[in-house]
Amino acid sequence: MIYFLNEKNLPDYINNLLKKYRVYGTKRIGNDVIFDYLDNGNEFYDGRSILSPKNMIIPSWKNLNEHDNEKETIIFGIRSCDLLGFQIMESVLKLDIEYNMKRSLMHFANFICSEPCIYGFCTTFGGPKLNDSGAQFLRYRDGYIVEIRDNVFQSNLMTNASEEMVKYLEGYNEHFSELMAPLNTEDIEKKMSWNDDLWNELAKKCISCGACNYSCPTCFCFDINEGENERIMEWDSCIMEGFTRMAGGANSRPDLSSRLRQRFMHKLSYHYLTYGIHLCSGCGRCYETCPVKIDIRDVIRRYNP
Amino acid sequence: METDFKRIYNFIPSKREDINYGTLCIKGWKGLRYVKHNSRLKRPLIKDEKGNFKEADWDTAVYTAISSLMEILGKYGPDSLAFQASAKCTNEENYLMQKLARQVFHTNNVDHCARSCHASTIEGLITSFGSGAMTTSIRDIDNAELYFVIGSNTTEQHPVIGSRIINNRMKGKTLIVADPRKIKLAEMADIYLRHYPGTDLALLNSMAYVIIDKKLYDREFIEKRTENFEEFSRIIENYDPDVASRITGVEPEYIERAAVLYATKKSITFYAMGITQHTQGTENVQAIANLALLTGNVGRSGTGVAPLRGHNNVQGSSDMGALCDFLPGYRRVYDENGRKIFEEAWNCELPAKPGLSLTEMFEYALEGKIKAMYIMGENPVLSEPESEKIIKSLENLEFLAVQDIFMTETAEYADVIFPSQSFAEKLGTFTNTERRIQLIKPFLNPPGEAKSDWEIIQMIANSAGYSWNYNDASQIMDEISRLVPQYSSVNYKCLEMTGGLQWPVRECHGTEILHAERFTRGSGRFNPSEWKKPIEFWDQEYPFILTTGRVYYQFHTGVMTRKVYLLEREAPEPYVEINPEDAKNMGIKNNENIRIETRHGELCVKARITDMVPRGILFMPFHYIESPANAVTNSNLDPRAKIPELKVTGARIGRCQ
Ligand code: SF4
Ligand code: SF4
Repeated sequence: MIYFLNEKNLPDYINNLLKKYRVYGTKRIGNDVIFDYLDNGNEFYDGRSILSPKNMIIPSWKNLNEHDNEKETIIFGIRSCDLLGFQIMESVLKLDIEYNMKRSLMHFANFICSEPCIYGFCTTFGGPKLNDSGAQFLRYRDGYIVEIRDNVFQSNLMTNASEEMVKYLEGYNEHFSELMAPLNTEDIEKKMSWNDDLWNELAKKCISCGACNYSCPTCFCFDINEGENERIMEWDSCIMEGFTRMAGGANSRPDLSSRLRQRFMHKLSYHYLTYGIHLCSGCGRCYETCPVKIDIRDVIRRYNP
Repeated sequence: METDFKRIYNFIPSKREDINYGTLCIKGWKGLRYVKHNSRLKRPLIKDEKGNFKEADWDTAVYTAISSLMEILGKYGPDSLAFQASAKCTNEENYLMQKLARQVFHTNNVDHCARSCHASTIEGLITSFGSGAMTTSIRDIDNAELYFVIGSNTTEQHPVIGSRIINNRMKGKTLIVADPRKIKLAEMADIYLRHYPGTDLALLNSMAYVIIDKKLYDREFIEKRTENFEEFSRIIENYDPDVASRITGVEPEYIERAAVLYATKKSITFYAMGITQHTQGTENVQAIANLALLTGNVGRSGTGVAPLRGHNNVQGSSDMGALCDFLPGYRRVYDENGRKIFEEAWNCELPAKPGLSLTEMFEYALEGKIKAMYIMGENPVLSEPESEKIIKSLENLEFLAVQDIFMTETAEYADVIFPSQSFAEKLGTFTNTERRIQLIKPFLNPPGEAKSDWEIIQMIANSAGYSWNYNDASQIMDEISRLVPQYSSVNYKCLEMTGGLQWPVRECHGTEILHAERFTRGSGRFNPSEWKKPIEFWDQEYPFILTTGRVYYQFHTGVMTRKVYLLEREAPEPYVEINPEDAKNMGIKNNENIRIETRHGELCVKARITDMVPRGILFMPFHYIESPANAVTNSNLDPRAKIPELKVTGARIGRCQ
C-alpha cells in the first residue's frame, strides 16, 4: 500500500515505533551522519550515513562469548544502496543460522534519495527505488510518499497517497536514471581480465587501509580469533596480506595487485557467475573512503567504455 | 564513533575536509579496539616482598607511592627523581606531569618520548624559525607543487598524509623521495635519491650548493627575512655534488635535478625519524630549514617544513614542557624571565639547570644516581635503545611507579602501578602534527577503578601536601591558556565550536600557516653545519649498517596494536630486511633465522630478503618484544637534542644455533 506522511508527523511516527521496537536510525553529529540507536523521533536525520548499518548483521567487532539479548529492531533511514547491500549479502548469508535469526528480527525502512549523491551509481543495479523493502520513503513536497510492505510500519498518522503520488513513485527510477546515468555492466563478468595491467597500476597507489572492504555494504568477510576469555569476531579485508596466508606462510595472493584483482573480480565477475547477481550495490563508498581514490566505476568503464 | 549501550560498535572516518577527509588508515579502522580489551588494568597494584603484584585500593597505592618518593627526595635530593610524561596522554596530563616534577619535586628531570623522535625538530626548528612545529597545515598540502619526502615512510606511518601526497602525485605534481629504503612513495617518485643512512646532511647541503651555484635562491626573501646567509654560503661551498656523491652514494646529476626542482616550485618538505634519530639530528633539521629559507619555501600557502609526528600528541606534550630543557611554551629552563612566569604562577622556586633527558635518566639510574622513577603511559623497555641497559636501570631503582592502561614490559618492574583511562574514557585535548588542538570527549565507561592520568597526578601532588584543585580537565586548560602563549585564549567552548584550532590561537582563531609575515623568532636564521660521519658506520668488523623503523600495522611498542588480532595477523613477527645480493653472498635463505650482532648486543631474527634495502644495509622494525631491535641499537646522542642515533648502528651477521 502507498501512503503519504507529512514531515511534521515524522518524529511522532518514529516515537510510535519506539514504543514497541528498538530503532537504529540515522542521526547527525557535527557534519557527519551516522547510525545509532534513537532515543526519540527528533534525533532522526534524513541523510546518508557514512557507513552502511551492516554491522547489525556482521559486527565490526564482537566478543562472541558475550551474548546480546536480541530484540526486534527497525533500521530506519537506510539508503537504498545499503539496503540492496543487505539483499545481496543474503545470497551467501542465508545459509547461516545466526544470520537468519538476526535477519528475522530486523525491519527496514529505507529512504529513497531525492537527488543523486556524488559517488553513487545505484541506478546501475536497479536503484534507487527497490522492489523489496519493509517501507520505502520518498521525499515529496512537505512530506514523504511511503510504500509499505511490512505491517509494522502501518500508522494512522499517514493518509492514503493520491494518484499523482503513486505515479511519481512508480516513475521514479526512470526519472532518477536521467540524473544518474547507469553504467553498462553487460557481460562484464566475462570481459574482466586476470592479466590486466590495471591491477598493477592500482597496487602502486593502494595503501592497504581496508576502507574499501569496511565501508562496503556488500562485503561480508570476517575473521574469528580466540584469546584469553574471548572469541573475537571482526571484519576482515581481502586487501590484507594475511587474508589468504596459510599456516606455514604459503599465500595464494601474495602481492597487492593480486588482492586488488580479487576484490574487483569477486565484486563484478565471480559472484555474478555463481549467484547471478553482482556483489555491488553501486553505493560508491569504496571510492569515497579510499584515501587514494581508487574508483570502481573506472574499473567497470574499462571493460565497458 | 557509534556506541551501543556503552559498548563500542564502530569507528567511522569523519568527513572533515581539513584533516582526514573521510578516510582512515588500518590502525584507525581497527587499531583502537584495544580500549575494550579485557586485560585493561582495573585496580591499582602494589608489589609485595615476594615480587608479586597485589590489588590495592587507591588510597593505599597513592600512600605507598608518595611515602617512597618523599623518602627518596629527603634522602638524596630532587635530582634523584625522574619523571616520564607521555605523548599518548592529553595536554592537560602532560602539563600536570611536568608541574608535578617541577613544583612538587623541584626537578627538571621530566621528559618523554618526543626525546627519542622529535627532540631534534624542536631544537632545530626553534633555532631556525622560532617554533618547533609543522609550519603549514594538512589541508594546505594540496596547494603545493612539489613534495620532498626525506626520512619518512609516509604511506605507512602517516597514511592520511601519505595518501594526500599520492593523490597529488597522480594529478601530476612533482615528488622527490630521499630514503635508503625503496619505500612505496619512492616507486612513484619523479626523482628517487637513495642515499646511505646517516648522510642526510651532506645530501641537503649539496642541494643548497646547487641552488646557490645556479642562482636559484630567493634573493629578496633572504635579504628581507633571514640572517646569517654569508656564513651559510661559505660552509655550503664544500658540498658540490661530486663531493656529496662520494659521501651519500647518490649520483651528482640526481642531486642537481632534485635541487633545481625544489628551488623552482612551491615545495613542502616532509620528514620524520629518518632525519631526527641521528647524532646530527638537529643539524639535519636545520639543513631542511636552510633549504626552505634559501628558496622562500616557508610562510606561504603550498610551502613549508613538515615534521611528521608519530603519536597523537607528541606536539602537545612538547608544547606543555614535558621536556627536561623546556618549560611550557618552549621557554628554556635557564631563561630567568621564562622561569619567573611559572615561579609566580606556581608559587615556588624553579631549578635553572636543565634536567636529564630520557636516555640520560636511564644511564643515571644504572649508575645509581637516579633512585626513583615515575612513568606515565610509556614502555621504555621496548622503545628505548639498548633495552638490556634499560631493564638493568629499572631494576636498580629504589622505587618505580607506572601509570598505564595495560600491564607492559616496563610495568613488570614497578613497585606501584596505577590503572589509567584511555582516550575513550576521558575529557582532554590532543594537539596533532599540524598544531591543531582538538577536544576529546569520553564515550565509554572506564574499566574498573581506572582514573584519568591527571587525576592520579593530582592525587600524588595533594598527598605531598599541595592543594591542587582541578575539578576537571577544562580547568587545567584554563591555567595552560594563561601561561602558554601559543595556547592563549584556548578554552573548551571554542574548541568545541570550531572543531579544533591550530596554534598560535588568538581569540578563538587558529593559525593555518606559521611565519607568514615574520618568523616567530624575528628573522629566519641559516644554521649551517658540516657533515660528520656517524659514530658507527661501515667498517671491517661491522660491515653492515642496521637501521630501525616501523611496520604499517603496528604502533610504537605494540602495547595497543598487538592486542588487535587482525593487525597482529598482518605483522605477527619481527624480521630483518636484507638485500638479495648480500643474502646470496652470505648464503642466507628467506625466512632463515640469522644473528644480528652489534657493539651493543645481539639477537636472532628471521631474514626477509628484499630489494627494499640496498646492499650493506639491514632494516628491522622495533615493535616486538620477541626480538627487540632496540636491544642492539646504539644510544649515541645528538649532543644538543639528546636524541639517540637509532638509525645507524654498525652490525654484522652471524648464524643462529
Ligand atoms: S563495491 Fe564499492 S560501490 Fe559497490 S557496494 Fe561496495 S562500496 Fe559500494
Ligand atoms: S580503500 Fe583504497 S587504499 Fe584502502 S585498501 Fe581499498 S583500494 Fe587500497
